[in-house]
Order: sequence, then structure tokens, then C-alpha cells
Amino acid sequence: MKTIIDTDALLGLARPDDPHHEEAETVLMALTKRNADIFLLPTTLSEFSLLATSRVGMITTKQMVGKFLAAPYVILPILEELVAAAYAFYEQQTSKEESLFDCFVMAQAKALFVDCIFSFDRGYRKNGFILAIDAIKNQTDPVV
Amino acid sequence: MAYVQRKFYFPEDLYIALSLQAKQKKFNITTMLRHYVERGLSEDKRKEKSAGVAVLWDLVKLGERAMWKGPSDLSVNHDKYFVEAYEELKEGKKKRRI
Repeated sequence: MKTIIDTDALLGLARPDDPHHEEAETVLMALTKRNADIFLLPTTLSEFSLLATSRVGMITTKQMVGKFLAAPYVILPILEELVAAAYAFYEQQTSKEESLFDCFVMAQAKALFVDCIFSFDRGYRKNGFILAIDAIKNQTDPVV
Repeated sequence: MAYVQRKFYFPEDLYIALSLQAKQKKFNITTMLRHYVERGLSEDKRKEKSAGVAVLWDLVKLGERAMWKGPSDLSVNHDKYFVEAYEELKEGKKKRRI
């Protein structure tokens, strides 16, 4: 199951009292059972690191970011084609809630043919993508 | 299946170990080599697959130990807080400038 993760899901997982924490853990458990491939963009990690630094400080944020950098093939490169594809998505957006960061995620999701986006942002649904929470509801647990 | 011919150099000790295994298992050295390459590649693929979820569980553990401050609705209103965090960053940089 190919999945790309967005900033809100990272924050939801990291912060125990976040409104999405429980749901994010449920999704992660389901993705673990399905042996999912998780992908992340440097733009998402940058957005996460700025937000996390303001809430947990730099030392902890560096440890969190370092974990991603140590994991092979999780972080995807940003190529020129991806920038163009993200901008094409951005041009189609009518709400300021759909940021260019989100458009990078959508462009990468489309290019990778991912099964779902690990995020709680309904804007992705509006753009025709499947959220991880919906994907796991529509699938039965794999037979182990 | 199409086969590709390539010339590779092996460290002597590795070649000796591989030849010995091939003899003991009564296979030719090429079969043994293909077997180990296939096994290594699939093992790498398995590790790649689990790397993503493993790092997310690490994030959960680090988050549990961290001292979080400020409103907890970070994931819900991250766009708003991103602007605030950026403003804070800019303010800090302004103060540092001569």
C-alpha cells in the first residue's frame, strides 16, 4: 500500500494530546499491518520542523527530523518536474486553505500512483485523492 | 529470460567462500551467485518497506517523551500556526540583524 504522509498527520502522530493523535495512531497501525510503503517530501518535513520547533524546541525537532533522514527511501527528491506539476495543481485551487505545500503532496501522490494520502485534510478529497483513514475503512485486514 | 553478460571482480576470500558453498551444495557458482543476489535484493526491499512505518513509530515515541507547549490543535490549524511560527522566526532574525 503506497502512502504519502502530510504535515498534519506527522503532527498528529507526534503530539500525544493532538485532536488527531488517536486517529493517526489507528491509521499507522493499519498501515503497519499492511506493510505500507511510506513516502515523505522535503517540503512536508520543512513545514513540520518549523511547527515542531515552535512547540517542542529545536533539540527534539532535530531528533525527529533525524529519524526520517536515517530511513532509506522514505524522503523523495524534489525534481523540476514535480515543481511544475505542483504549480499546475496550485493554479487549479480556489481556496487559500490549499497551500502550495499541499499541491506538492498532490503532485507527488499522482506521480507515484499512491493508494492514499496520510492526512486529515479534506481538501485532498476535494481534489480526488483518497485519505488513509478512508482507505483503511474500505479495506479488510490482510490475512497474516 | 534474457541474460546479460558482465565482468565483475570479487575479493578473493569472498570468491573462495562462494566456491566452497557451491561445491558443498552441488550447484555451480553462477547459480549460487544468482541465489544470493536475489535474496539480498528482496531483503533490501523488505527493509525499505518497513522503514517508513518504523520511522513513524519512532516519531510517536519521541513525541511522547517531548515537552509540548502551546495549543494542542497543531494538526488541525497547522496553516495558521505555520504563519505564526514564521512570524516569530522573522522577528528573531530582525533582532539579530545589525
